[in-house]
Amino acid sequence: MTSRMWMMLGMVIAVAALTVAVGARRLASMSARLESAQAVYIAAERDAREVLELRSHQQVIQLRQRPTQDVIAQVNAVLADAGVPASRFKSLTPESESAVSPAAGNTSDKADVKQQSLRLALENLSLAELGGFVNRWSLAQQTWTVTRLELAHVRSPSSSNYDVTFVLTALYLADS
Amino acid sequence: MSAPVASSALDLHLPSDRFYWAVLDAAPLKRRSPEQLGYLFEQVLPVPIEEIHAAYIRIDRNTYLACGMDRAKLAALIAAREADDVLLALGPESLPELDEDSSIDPHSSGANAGSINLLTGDFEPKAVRTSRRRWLLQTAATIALLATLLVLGLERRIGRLNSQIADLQQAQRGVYEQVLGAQAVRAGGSGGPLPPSLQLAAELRRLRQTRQSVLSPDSAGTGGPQLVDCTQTLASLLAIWPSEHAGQSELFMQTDSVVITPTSVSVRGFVPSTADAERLVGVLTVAQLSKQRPAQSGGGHWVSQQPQINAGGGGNSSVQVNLQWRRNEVNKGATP
Repeated sequence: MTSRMWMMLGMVIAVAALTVAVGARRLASMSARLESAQAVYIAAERDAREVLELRSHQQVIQLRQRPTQDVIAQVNAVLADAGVPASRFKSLTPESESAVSPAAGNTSDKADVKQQSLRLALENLSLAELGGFVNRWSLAQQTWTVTRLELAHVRSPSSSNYDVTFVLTALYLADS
Repeated sequence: MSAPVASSALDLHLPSDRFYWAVLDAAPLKRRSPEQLGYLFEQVLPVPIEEIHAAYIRIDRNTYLACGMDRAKLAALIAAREADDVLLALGPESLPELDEDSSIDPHSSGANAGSINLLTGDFEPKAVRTSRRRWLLQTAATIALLATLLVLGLERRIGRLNSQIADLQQAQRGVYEQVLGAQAVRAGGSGGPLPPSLQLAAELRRLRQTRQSVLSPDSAGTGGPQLVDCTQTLASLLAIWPSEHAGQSELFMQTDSVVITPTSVSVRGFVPSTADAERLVGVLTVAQLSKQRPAQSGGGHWVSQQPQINAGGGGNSSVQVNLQWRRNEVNKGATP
């Protein structure tokens, strides 16, 4: 009888210890889950803040190569905004494309970058109209940079206007 | 036979000659259980060990003192006392005097007669047995209660942690909705193309690639390649062009062409006279254009090249002027 009683007490102790151990293990697991959830939340919040901050910046690199028609529409919009007649728009033709080797670079993704160039010809522009167009072009977008500029005086000696040729260059992600 | 001496109502101490005694050498035994010691005791008993109820006390590491009584006599003694009161202990009043040739003297070994109690096992008093059972049950109940309280406490903490996790996940969902929009988050959560965390990572990657210049100069300013904005150079050139507003007398020049690239500026035109040409060259010196460093120049200095003045290059005695500047130390890179 006595040994049986002691055995029962032993079983009670074992069951109690096992139950407490299981509970403690669950608590430890839940604590680890909470830590993980906190880390994920902090990372998400940090990324979200960076996204919102980057969205306030202008786009400087395109995701992909832009078709010529898109740029034509942009040029017409800027001409209208600058008060330059649309008839001054002579042509927009593609130039060559090439790869660009980036420097240490700000992007952490180190994407391959290419550059796309277009030749824009505007004719019979005064210096004021040229300045207005250039100013509004840089305000309207930041992806296309004027990397070459040619001013040629129009044939008429009494005119002080110029035929202007821009080479517009934009960077885009090569693997997009 | 000596008469029994009761030290108290619950204890009965009998003279030592009422018991069987032996000093047992337990060295050969692997287990020192009462059963094993009983086999040793039996060797010196006149009766089988089954008829004896014995108690054993340890004298030293391998030596035990055995004390026993006939079961029948023991039962009779107990029965005689049950009518009056309950016996809790029965033992000798003193240790016996052993033979002279005994190598061990229980008296000098510190053995105590009072520690010998024959009311054990089958002869354990009912009160003691009941008390032990009650103690065991109480202990078991206490342990069970403590364990229950512990587990309840743990479960409460687990519940609280669960609640915190749920709050964090809710807040995280709010962050995703703020950035990606509620619809995108709902679509991603219900098995859509991408879960919200991956959508956010993709959006961040896209913005990092397109909002930050991949070609901006490094922190030392020595520069990586850049797209050089030539309109800034044109603005600089126009800023230094001689005019009345700059405190210079106006200089008439019919500009034929201006070509601006990231590394060179070329101006061709006609002025009325050689003197005007020389004045123009003198005004547009390398120092002036270098001072007007454009914002997106990518570094480097403009160096004026040798101007070309051709008298009679145009009609009406006008003089043709070719002016050129070249930029030094421009980082190679994205030039057309």
